[in-house]
Amino acid sequence: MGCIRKGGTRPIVEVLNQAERPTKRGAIVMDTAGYDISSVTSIVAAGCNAIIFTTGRGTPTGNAIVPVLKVTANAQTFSWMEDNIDVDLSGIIAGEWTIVDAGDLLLKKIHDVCNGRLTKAEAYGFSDVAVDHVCRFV
Amino acid sequence: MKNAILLDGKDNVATCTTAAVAGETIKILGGDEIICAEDIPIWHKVALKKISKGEKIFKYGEIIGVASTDIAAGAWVSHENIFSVPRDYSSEMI
Repeated sequence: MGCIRKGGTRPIVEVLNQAERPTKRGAIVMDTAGYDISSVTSIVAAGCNAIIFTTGRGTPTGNAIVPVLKVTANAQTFSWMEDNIDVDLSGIIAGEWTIVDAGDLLLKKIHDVCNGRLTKAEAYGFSDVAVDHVCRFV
Repeated sequence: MKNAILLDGKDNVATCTTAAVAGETIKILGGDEIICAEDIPIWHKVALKKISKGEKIFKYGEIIGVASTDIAAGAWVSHENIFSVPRDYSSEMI
């Protein structure tokens, strides 16, 4: 239920098979494996240019083709994995930032990455790719 | 600084975002305040009001279990005092 909540409240406009290119704009769901590397690979295969990866427990995931910008709102995770997590938005959970303020900060970070700033995964040279052969959930 | 988060207005539990100590006032993001009745580990649930045995526990606005015993307001809600009630998904298929 936590990951459903992280998906937000906008209507889902399209449901895609693994690696299928979207035809609509908005909130889109793809039927992929749930784990980090395979889900990212599937979305990238569909044409995604940058991954904004929200994580509570933390992940070192990077991708060979696109930048993976990791974001957490868990202060403990950020302090334990600061070398892997790009953006700390834990001020929201602490009640010190509004979601709008945090969104502005995140947008700036995304803008920087789109302009060529390396993500932490890129700096490490992480280039994970995984393709699940049997993994259909929908 | 808030110490817990209320995930939905329907919920009768909040999630502690710092470890809570008995007697401490927990300030809840999206909610009110409650006095903590016992030590609660970080990321665990706190009861926002007295929950009687047999009452449903709501988190994310969804039923996550039923109380197996009376739970005091401010007490730790865990596998020790609630149990899962599997949902019959097949009856909801269109």
